[in-house]
Parts: sequence; C-alpha cells; structure tokens
Amino acid sequence: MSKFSFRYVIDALLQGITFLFSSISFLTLGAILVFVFNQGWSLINIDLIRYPYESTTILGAPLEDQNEFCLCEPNITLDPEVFYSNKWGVGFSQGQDLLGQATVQLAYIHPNSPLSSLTNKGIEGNEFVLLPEYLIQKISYNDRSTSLARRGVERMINELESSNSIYEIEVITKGGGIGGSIITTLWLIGLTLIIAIPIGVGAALYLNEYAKHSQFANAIRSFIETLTGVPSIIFGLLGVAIFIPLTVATTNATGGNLISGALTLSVILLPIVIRTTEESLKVVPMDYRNASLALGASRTQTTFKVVVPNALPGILAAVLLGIGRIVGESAALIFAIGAIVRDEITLTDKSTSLAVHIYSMMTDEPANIELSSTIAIIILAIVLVLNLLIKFISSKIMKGKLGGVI
Amino acid sequence: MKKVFDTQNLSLFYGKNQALKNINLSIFEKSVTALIGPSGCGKSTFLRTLNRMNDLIPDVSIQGGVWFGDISIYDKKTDVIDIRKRIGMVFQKPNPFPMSIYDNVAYGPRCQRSYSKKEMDALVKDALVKSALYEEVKDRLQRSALELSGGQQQRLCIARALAMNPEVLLMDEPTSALDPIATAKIEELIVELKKNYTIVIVTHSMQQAARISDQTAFFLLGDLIEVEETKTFFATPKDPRSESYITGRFG
Amino acid sequence: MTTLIETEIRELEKNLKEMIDLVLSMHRDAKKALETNDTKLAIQIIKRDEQVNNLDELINESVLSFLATQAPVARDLRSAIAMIRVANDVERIGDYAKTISEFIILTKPLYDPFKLYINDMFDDFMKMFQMATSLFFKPVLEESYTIAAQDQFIDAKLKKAFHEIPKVVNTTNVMSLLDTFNIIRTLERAGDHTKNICEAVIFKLKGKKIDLG
Repeated sequence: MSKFSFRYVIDALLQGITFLFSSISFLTLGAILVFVFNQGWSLINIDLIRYPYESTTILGAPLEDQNEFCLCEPNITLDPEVFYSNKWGVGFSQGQDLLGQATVQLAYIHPNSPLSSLTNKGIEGNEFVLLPEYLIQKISYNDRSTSLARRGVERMINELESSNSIYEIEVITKGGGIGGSIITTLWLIGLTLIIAIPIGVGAALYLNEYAKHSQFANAIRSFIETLTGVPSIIFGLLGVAIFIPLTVATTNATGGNLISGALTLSVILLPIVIRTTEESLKVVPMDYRNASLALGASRTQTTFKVVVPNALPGILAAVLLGIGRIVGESAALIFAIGAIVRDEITLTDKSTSLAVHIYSMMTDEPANIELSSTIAIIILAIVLVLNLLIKFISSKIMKGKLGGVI
Repeated sequence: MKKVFDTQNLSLFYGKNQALKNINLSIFEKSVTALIGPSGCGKSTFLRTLNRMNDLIPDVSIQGGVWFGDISIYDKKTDVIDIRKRIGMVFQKPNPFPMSIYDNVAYGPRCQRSYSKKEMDALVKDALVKSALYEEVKDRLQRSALELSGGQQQRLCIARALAMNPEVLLMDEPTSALDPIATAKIEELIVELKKNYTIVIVTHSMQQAARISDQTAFFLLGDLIEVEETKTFFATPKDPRSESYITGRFG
Repeated sequence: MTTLIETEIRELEKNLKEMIDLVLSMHRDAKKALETNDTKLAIQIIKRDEQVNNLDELINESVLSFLATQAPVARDLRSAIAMIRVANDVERIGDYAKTISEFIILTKPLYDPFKLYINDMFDDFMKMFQMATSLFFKPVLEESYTIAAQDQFIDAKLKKAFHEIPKVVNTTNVMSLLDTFNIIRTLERAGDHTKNICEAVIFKLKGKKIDLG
C-alpha cells in the first residue's frame, strides 16, 4: 500500500472513531431521556400542580336538617363512565391516585343534593362543601355496612342507592402534588441569582478590570479556580454549619429554610459565575477600553458603558449555567434546607426543591420511580423554558446593541 | 507660534528599561507634528505620554515634565479625565464601539453630561461633517458602526474624538491599516483639520510625514535625534542618522 | 547589502559618467583635429555628439522615473536633481566640441598667433572639466570653490586675446581673426559651463543654489 493512500486510511479511521464516540454519547444521553419519559409521562397531568402534596382526610357528616333525598336527574350530560345516584344526586367515577390505587372520585354533585354541604367532624361546627374531584374513601351508613372505595365505584353507587341514611363520609383531597416544590425551586432560582450574580460579576470586574496584574488578584483567581472543583456536598455542610444558624438567629426560622438554601447555592454558584464572567470580560478587546478612556470617560463609565454590555453574552451564559446547577443541586440542599415536602412555602421554613423532592420520592418505601421521572420531565421543562427565555432576551439585547441604542 | 505641548527632559521607564531618554520637544498650535523612527524607537510611547494613556500600562515611571499649555500633565493634582477631554486620540486599528454610528459619536459627550436630543443631533452631525463622513452616513446613523468600511470606521473614530471638541488630536499610525484611497482621504482630512486643531501623528511612512506635517521629529532608540521643519528635514537633514534613516540606508 | 535606491543611483551615475567621458574625448580630439586640420576626425566628433544627446535624454528620463518610483529624499533627491543640471551642462559642452569640429570641416583658416591661446585654453578647460566632473561623484565642498576658480585662467586668456585684436586687425586677416576668436569664445563658454558643474556639486551637498560668478 502506498504511503499516499495509507494516510487517507488513517484519516478515515480517525474520523470513524470520533463519529463512533459521538454516537455513543448521543445514544447514552438519548437513552436516559427515553427512560425518563417512558417512566414518567403517564403521570403528567395538571393535578400535579393543583393539588397539595399532602392529601387531607376529612370526615363529613350530613347536615342535621337535610332529610330529603334529591331524586333528581343531573342537569348536565354526564360521561358514560359516571355512575349516578338519583336518590342522593351525586355521580361517582372510577379514578386512580398518584400511587396507582383505585379510587372513587366525585364526578358531579347536584345542587339539590343533601350531600352538597357537610359538617366537618374534625373541626366542630364547620361546614365544608363537597366538590367534584374529591375522593370518596368510604361512606358509613346507619342502615347498612360501609362502602369502601377500593371495592370499586359501581358497587359503591349501588350501596349508596340502597341506603337511606348516611352516617359519615370520609373524603380525601387529592395529594401528591408538587406545586410546593415547584414554587420552592423557582424561589431558589430567583434568590440565588439575585445574590450570586451581582457578587460574582462584581468580583470578576474587580479581578479583570481593576486589579488585573496584582499578586492579590492572582491569588484570588487561583483560589477560585480550585473552588470550582469542590464537591457541592461540602458546601452543604457549610450551609448547615453557618447559614442555618445565621438565619435561625436573624429570622424566625427554626431550622433549615429557603434563605439558608439560597445562600448555600450562592456559594456553590459563585466560582462558576466569577470564572465565566471573567472569561467573557477578557474577550472584550482592549481597544474598546482604550478608546473609551481616551475620550475622557472614567474607569467606571468605561466598565459599565462599554465592557459589561459587551460581556453580556458571557454573563448570561453564567446565568444559564447557574440555573442548571441550582435546579440540579440535591445533596447540598438536603442539608441546607431539608427534605420535607411542603405545600405552603415560606422563606423561613423547610421545603424541598424539585431535585430534593425526587430524592424524597426515591427514598420512600417503595421507591416511586414513575413520579420521580415525571418530576424529572418537569425539571427538564423548566430548564428548557428558562434557557430559551434567556437566549431570547440575549438575542434581543444583541440586536438592540448592534442596531441602535444601549 | 504658541506652544501647545512642551516636554522637558522627559524620560520614561518600563520597569528598568528606559524607553524615552531626556526628550525635549515642543508641539506648536494648529500645526501637524510628525513623529518618525524605526520600530521600538519610542515614538508611540511618547505620543501616549501626552494624554497619560501610559498610565494604563503597569510598571511605568516618568521623569521630567510634560506641559500642556500651563498645566503640568504628570502633576499629582492634575485631573486626568480633564486632560483627556481636551486631547483626543485616534488609534492604529480603527476601534469603533459595537454601537450605532450615532451612539459612537455621542459616547464621549454623554459621559460628561446629558444632552437634549436636539443638542446631541447637532453635535453628532457637526462632528461627522468635520471628519468628512457625514454625507456618506447621514441616512444610516442608527445602523451599526461595524458595517462601515475600514476607512470610514477610522473617520468615525476621528469624529468620535472631535465630538469632545478637543484642542489636540493625537494619531497613532492612523492609516497603516487602510488602503491607499482611504489613506489619502484621511491625509486630506488632517491637512484640513490642522486649521483648527493641533495634530501630532506617529507614522511609519516617510512620504506621509513629508506630505502632511509642518514639523518632523525623528526618534531612535528612545532618543530624539532631530526635530526640524519638515521641508528642511526631508531636503537637508542635519544629523547623519536622520539622513540614513529617511533615505532607507538603515531600517 | 546595497539598498534598492543605491543600485538605482549607481545606474544613473553610470550613464552620466559615460556622457562625461564621451565629451572629454570629443574635446581632446577636437584639439588634435584643429592642429592637424583632420576633417575625418572632425566628422567622427560630430557623430559622437549624437550619442551625447541620446545619453542626455536617457538621463533625464531615468531621473524622472527615479523620482517617481523611489520618492527619494535628502541627499538622494538632491543628487538626482543635480545630475539633471550636470547632464545639461555636459551636453552643452559637447555641443561646443561639435561647433569646433564644424569649423574644421569648413576648412576655415585659423589666425595662427592665437593658436597658442587656443591650445592653452583647451588644456585649462579639460583639466578643469576632469576635476569638476570627478568632484561631482566624490563631492567635497571646498574643492568646488577652488575648481570653479580655475575658470578665471580661461577668462584671462580670452581677455588677453580680445585686447590684442585691435592691435593686429587688418582687412586681410579680419575674417580669420573673427573665426578664431569664435573658437576662443566657445572654449570660454565651455569653462563657464564647467563652473556650473561646480555649482551643481554645491547643490548636491547643500541643497542651495550658489552663484559662483
């Protein structure tokens, strides 16, 4: 074989190998995505947001003065799967809760139904209204045996129809919602960015614009380089050791809370923001600074009117990186905020981010892979939306700069 | 003729390395002074001492004095920004900001105070007219400066400097990155501008210095070898080193 | 290493030297031809004048190109301009040799007593011409003055001859006297033009036109 074609063979071989490696990467990442979607897609519905994580069980009793039966037809067309009781004016349908068990869902309640208002047996004297989509767990009667939801909706409706006196109804509001965790995640993103971006950008400006060649700056720079490699769980320990006591002392927090979580994430994010911003500041040509200063602008004016606007793409990249990191961070947050899922989110109390929620789901007995995958899909969706939003804003700014006014 | 700049025994050091050795040079009002010399001779360094742009380089130290009118430039009390407002600079590589043409010209004035739209429009137009660029860009002032050709960009940089209404224009090899036609345009512009501004220009081109300057200063290895009226300098230079340089006997 | 400009200048000087040598030889031969009445030599001298004119044209064109392409300054510029002036003067001096040769061809009789003047003036002139032209290629300021001063010897001889004319003139020799005096005057002019070459040397050195009288 001549030397000439041998070189071409080597070239082709190399190209083939690199193609192979990129295919492997692509397929592996693709496989992960496929797995997540496969597992989690079925559970995606709006209920994840509408319902709280905790489902409350309410025991309701019919009101004292409600004796008359409804004996009414529904005044809307019901789905064929709804089982309707004329006597009581309620329609039940078969449901499935987020853990996969059979439930009975209130599909429709007639305004004249004697069951439309019930007394909350838990809180003395309080009325509560039966609304569609509540789960009927069981109905206890005075004149026959109890209906249980898990025995199926058709049986329950028949038993209800056959009874004339209801003792109490156990109602469950749907749970398993992740709304709280979503709110926590969004809060974390917001707070952390507000803390980390200004500090990080400011530090990068100092290192690159004002103190570029000093020994002090070089020392800081190498220190920050090292920090980017530190495992984030160590920062979690920092959170427990410093930020939790700090927030406990200064606010009415009693343990891990959102603020301490945001502070911990800020510390994790800081080296990344500083590095990325510094890189993008370096790329701004010295020519621009020279021109600005020669025109009689001060250092500050030069930095903010020329350098920073030109470094904006890099800063936005830092923001994107940051968001990814925040949404994905789990170990550090488990320490710094806690792993207790909440519906009511306050800044000074424990809650979970979506990633930690997954942790929580997966450490349950049994591990809930489907729900975790669903949450994973939602996380991906949030990251994707934020990415696109920032890219959109970024391109608008670029267009604005090149075509017109800053 | 009135002196705009006067340096007295000016020496400059980059660390231990002496880049300028005891320079005594006067720049006269509303004239063009050309600084020539081989690479590394200190002419650009000298230019930058006039508006304290050397401050940006670390480890620089100055001895001797530079007088701008009756202000000592390197005095501790001197306001650097004020000096730079009165002395404009144009660089070798055209460096307009990635903004619109209008914003480029408006940049300097806006850093000093706010202007009404009417005021600023007039100021921008005036600067662009003075730098012979207005006719070519008047219909696209809001377009990006980066769309202009090299020669136009350089004239934009001149307009940007003129917008500050300086007394002096310092130009560091302003045409070395440009083609001959753009170069000729800028040389014409310089000859026109010297009626109202004092201009100091560093150039590698002997012909350029000969064509457009009134006074030529020849630097060599940090020394000022000869400074002379241009027409005499190029016809009968006094120092043999000057003659060797301008006749190309040594680079 | 020789620079581009130096090579160009050397080329220009070569042409000028050739022209000078030619003109010098023309005068040498003219002196001889005059003595021996050699018409054949005279014709050759006239032919050489054509070459001189061609060289003059060449030098002018070459200097023009040189100025345009090399844009010389300082001494290169002064040299180039001085060369044109010298070529001009040398060409005239060549013309004078041609004039004398034409005289020989027309076989006009000389006024014999003036032959001495003529030969001396030839010698004076050729010496001055040689020195002035060599000086041009190796210029020294003081020497341009001293060489130019030699012209006074030539002038003195003309004056002497001139003063003799009224003493010796009569109706038979008047024409030959006039013709002979013309040759004397021609040689005096040649001396003047040689003085111009000295002025060109000063211009080459100083960039100033000095009138040497």
